[in-house]
Amino acid sequence: MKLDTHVRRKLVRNALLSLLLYAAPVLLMLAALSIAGQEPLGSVSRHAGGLEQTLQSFNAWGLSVCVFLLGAVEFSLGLYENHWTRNERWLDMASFALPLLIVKPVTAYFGLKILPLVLPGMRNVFDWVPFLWGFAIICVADDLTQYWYHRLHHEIPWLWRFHRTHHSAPYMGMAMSNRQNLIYTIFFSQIYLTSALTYLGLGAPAVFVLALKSVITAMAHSSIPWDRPLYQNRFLHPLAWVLERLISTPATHQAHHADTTDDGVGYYKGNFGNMFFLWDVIFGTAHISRRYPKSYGISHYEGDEWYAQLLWPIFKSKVEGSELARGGPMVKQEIRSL
Amino acid sequence: MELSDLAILVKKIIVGVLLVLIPLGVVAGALHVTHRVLVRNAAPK
Repeated sequence: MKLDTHVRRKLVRNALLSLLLYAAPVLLMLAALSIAGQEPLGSVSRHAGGLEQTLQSFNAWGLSVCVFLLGAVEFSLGLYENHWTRNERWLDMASFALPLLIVKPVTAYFGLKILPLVLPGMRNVFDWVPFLWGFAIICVADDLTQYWYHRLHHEIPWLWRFHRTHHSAPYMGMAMSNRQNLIYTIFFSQIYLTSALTYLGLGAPAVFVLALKSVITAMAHSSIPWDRPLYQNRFLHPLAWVLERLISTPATHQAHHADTTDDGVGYYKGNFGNMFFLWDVIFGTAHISRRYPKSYGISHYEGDEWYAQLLWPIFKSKVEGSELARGGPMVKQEIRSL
Repeated sequence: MELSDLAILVKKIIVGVLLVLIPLGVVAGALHVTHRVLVRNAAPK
């Protein structure tokens, strides 16, 4: 299946613009420090205070606890309705546990063993970067990379099946927030990029960015529409206008998980942003309706076995005609991005 | 796993690696240049 010419052109244009966006916080820092007449100091970004340790603990295990507790609240409110079948439960729980058991050790090994081999003598070479500028640099580098990783898995047909598992959930909530094919999760580019930037001296800002990003992405996947009051109260509309363009919210991210785009609410062909929705606004992939889809998932989903969804292409689905089945289509026509 | 799956997996890994190397190159390159400019500006004339 070939990539549509229009899609290819847009991808190239947006990718070139991204190079500028990656460099933008550094260039702004250069301008600001030059105007202030500051010279690069040593080791400023490594001392961000006691909050850093708290956030490190939050990133290590606190977030998982929060996701678990919020999931329990969602479940007790009946927000998963009757969709959370045994197959879906196994898949969601395996997707929750395996990254903790496999991905974290892999990324730790990458940061502690591989990077010193690949980039010898470069540890902390950028620790002169002031904390707030480091924060801005990591925000852009990490989240823009995840935007691209996500978008490419939607727009490049042969990548779709690695991401399909996240979209097959017929519900929103903490249960599916980590639901991914394991290969998709292991090769998350932004994890390795941020690891490398941490090694180069931006560790303290990275801790803060990852904590903030975890909270925003978890809340965007929540089945609790915490952003609804912002749209209902007209005095809050200016705040809503800014917020919905800046970060992912339940309204915009749930639209991305809708099973249709025909109702003017769902939009699985865009809204790819994870922490920042701003990327979608910049690249023209945004759809803001301030409404929530009626149903989620993939319209042709027939409950592929949890292990096939978790470990495709090592295991294949037994559901005939499924994208994950042996000899199945790469992308079923109705979910193909334009 | 079939050969075609393996080919897709390899292509996917290449895309993933590029998505690390390109931003890292841009950011690290920009930081390196910034450091040199700031040090040069701070040097006594």
